[in-house]
Amino acid sequence: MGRFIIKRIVESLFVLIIGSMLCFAFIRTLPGDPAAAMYGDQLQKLSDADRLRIIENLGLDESLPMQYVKWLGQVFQGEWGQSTISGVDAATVVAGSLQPTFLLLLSSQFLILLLAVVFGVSTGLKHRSLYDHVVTIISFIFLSIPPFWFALMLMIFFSVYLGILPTSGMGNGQIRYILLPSLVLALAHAGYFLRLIRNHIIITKNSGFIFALKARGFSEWSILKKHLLPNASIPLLSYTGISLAVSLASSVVVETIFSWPGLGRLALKSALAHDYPVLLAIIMLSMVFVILVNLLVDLLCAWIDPRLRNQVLEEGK
Amino acid sequence: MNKKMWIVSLVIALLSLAGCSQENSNSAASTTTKQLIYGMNSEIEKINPVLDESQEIDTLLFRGLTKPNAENEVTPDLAESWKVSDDQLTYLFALRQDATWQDGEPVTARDVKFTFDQIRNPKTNTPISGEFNEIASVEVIGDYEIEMTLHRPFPPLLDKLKVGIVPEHLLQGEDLNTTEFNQNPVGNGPFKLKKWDADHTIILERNEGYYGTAPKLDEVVFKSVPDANTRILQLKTGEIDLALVEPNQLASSKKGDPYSVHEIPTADYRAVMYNFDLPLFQDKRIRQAMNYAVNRDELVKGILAGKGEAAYGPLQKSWAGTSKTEGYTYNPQKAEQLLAEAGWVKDQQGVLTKDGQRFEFELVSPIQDTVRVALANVVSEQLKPFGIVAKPKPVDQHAIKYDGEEALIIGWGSEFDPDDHTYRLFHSDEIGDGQYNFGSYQNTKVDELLLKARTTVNQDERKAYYHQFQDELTTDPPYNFLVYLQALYGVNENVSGISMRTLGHHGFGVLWNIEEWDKKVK
Repeated sequence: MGRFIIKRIVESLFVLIIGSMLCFAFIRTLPGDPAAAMYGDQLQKLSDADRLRIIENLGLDESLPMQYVKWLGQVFQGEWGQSTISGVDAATVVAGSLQPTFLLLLSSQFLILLLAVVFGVSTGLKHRSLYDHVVTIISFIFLSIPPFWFALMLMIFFSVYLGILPTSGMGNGQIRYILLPSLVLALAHAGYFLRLIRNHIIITKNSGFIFALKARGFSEWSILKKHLLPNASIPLLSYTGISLAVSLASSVVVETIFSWPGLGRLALKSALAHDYPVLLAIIMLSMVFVILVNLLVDLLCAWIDPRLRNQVLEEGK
Repeated sequence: MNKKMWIVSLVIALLSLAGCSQENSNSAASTTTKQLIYGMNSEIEKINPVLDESQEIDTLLFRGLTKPNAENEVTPDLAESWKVSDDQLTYLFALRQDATWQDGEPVTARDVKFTFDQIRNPKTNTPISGEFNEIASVEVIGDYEIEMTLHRPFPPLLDKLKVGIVPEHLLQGEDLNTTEFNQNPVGNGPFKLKKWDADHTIILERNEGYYGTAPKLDEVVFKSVPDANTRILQLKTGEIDLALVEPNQLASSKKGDPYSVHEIPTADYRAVMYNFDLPLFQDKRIRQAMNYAVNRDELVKGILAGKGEAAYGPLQKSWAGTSKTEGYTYNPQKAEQLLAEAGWVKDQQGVLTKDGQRFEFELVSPIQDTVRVALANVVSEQLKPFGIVAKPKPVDQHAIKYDGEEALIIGWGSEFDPDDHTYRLFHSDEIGDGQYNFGSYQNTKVDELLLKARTTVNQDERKAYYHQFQDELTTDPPYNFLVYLQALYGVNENVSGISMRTLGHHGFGVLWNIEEWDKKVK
């Protein structure tokens, strides 16, 4: 097991180094630079001389490989550089938006699992019933409506019409602020999870061992609890790991509409302002996060499923 | 299983409702505070007037030597009075002696010198250094006396000196770009920082030590609401009191909404800038014809949803402006006549040609600015029937070469001294790298009039020069002036004090008279 983990960590380091090189080069190919961003809509006032001066002040006039080596050296010492728009340490800026995003992802993931298990299991058991069709259609609708539109509709209903929830912001972290954004994020993704569970329940419930169990007189409830759900949990877990990257990406839209001060919004803002230090810190952090969660998911799966456990042990040898 | 899950979700729903009611009782305490909540489209990253050009919060915390009044005239602020030398190169300012920083230290001439030295320091990453290029030196004469020397006469200087002064004693030796002061500012203005929340909301409270008129509001809150639709909804729910509104959102305001939309004029205009390096634009009859060919009222109605007005010149919003009847109005016959006079005839495809050359040019607009892109498209359509092919070319704004495109939708306009966005745009001395006469417009009469207007002190004489200057711009147009924009501000009904002063680009400066703003509390 230990060797498995070490092997994965070494692999991850390679991914991180190569990923950081690509990102470092890639974000520089975007048109514009921090000096232009500083002028905003007054860009026409930026003279070439001023642009060079500011670029030089920010240390962006050296060759790209040289800048990369310097940046990497700093990162190994725990220095992420300073934001070009606020002058604050990039690490501090990113740390500030970590908690809001974590809260949002956690609560939406909770909602996703809740919805997926409840409706996935019930539709799987009542395969091809009217109820199954209705839930399927509704889940497809939520999958296909654009989150920014859905978010506005929710705001109009709950905040303007009913007046019971705030439209946006984070307040002081009260639950009522997180309800709408996490609901939008959850409903946009719950459909995939729901289908996943439903299909697994359908396949498993028609397999021989379930018939055998039923024939022996085990109750539906205990079959569900002891056999159907555990079987469905493996694909669910691995899909959670994969979907995390997708959730992080869609949080950009949701966080912007709901003025949620998280990582997604910070990423968008930093990209628009060419705030390279902050942008790189976010990208690296997201990469580490996704890698870690996937590692964790693999370990969890191995812990749950003996077949996978043996596979993991084999791989470690 | 299903039933249990339902019960769990019901409990969660109940819990969250409990969360709501709990919070409601918390916020009840603050209803007696007169609090103005401003929903901004951007986030405030740093508060330091030296580092920013148009950030409303700066003027609430930091005051400068001068400030504008409702007519955009210069009035004293930290500078009590000033004397200008006859050659208009030396300005001697006497500072008021009762102004203090929020830590109790007095505001002195050394702070003023420090501020302008920092703005002009090459190590400072600021977009405003170009505004103060004409300053040669700033010298402290006494504790409350300061002298500024200029390279050449520059009447808009006094307007520009509204830039906030920063405290030397807190910033000496600091790197201005990264100092912690920028997140924890100590100012001299009517408000001071109370709280900078983790969600980027900034709460200011009244500064009791402010030397000027005490504000009526207790607190001003700057809240970042990046999405325009969300801002409208927040105006509707009363979560914010003030926000910029987009023209296409006007239809969503209904009777009974707690806010109304104020249409405030701005000095911000859009125009087609001709590049005079192109031989095509040399003949002024060509440019006059294009001026007559464009239907500006249609542009205002179609692109700005009626929220703006037809533009005829650069000084339309200034005290030095001429009345618009002297400018161009839509006149297709005259346009055709002028084109024919210039020797252009339509070929078989209906395109004007002369000596084998087609009347064709690229009309560039920055792709990020939807209004400018739309203007380029519609202007091109309007010119088509005359046989003029203006090919709209939307380009990423970072890829635009302002002095290298054939024609370009440009935006200028200053709410301050008429010299501000005229001399720098149309005088032939201003052609070249980093200067703003991008189209290389040259007209000796314009040069002469602008110089006279710049160096004359008497306001009536200046006005006369500017009138002649505008007449000359009409006969020999550097631009095809299109539209002036309006700024639309949604303001809660309980809030009073918003004025109709002509604002700068993007409606900047709306909080200029914040001391007079008030809010009714229940």
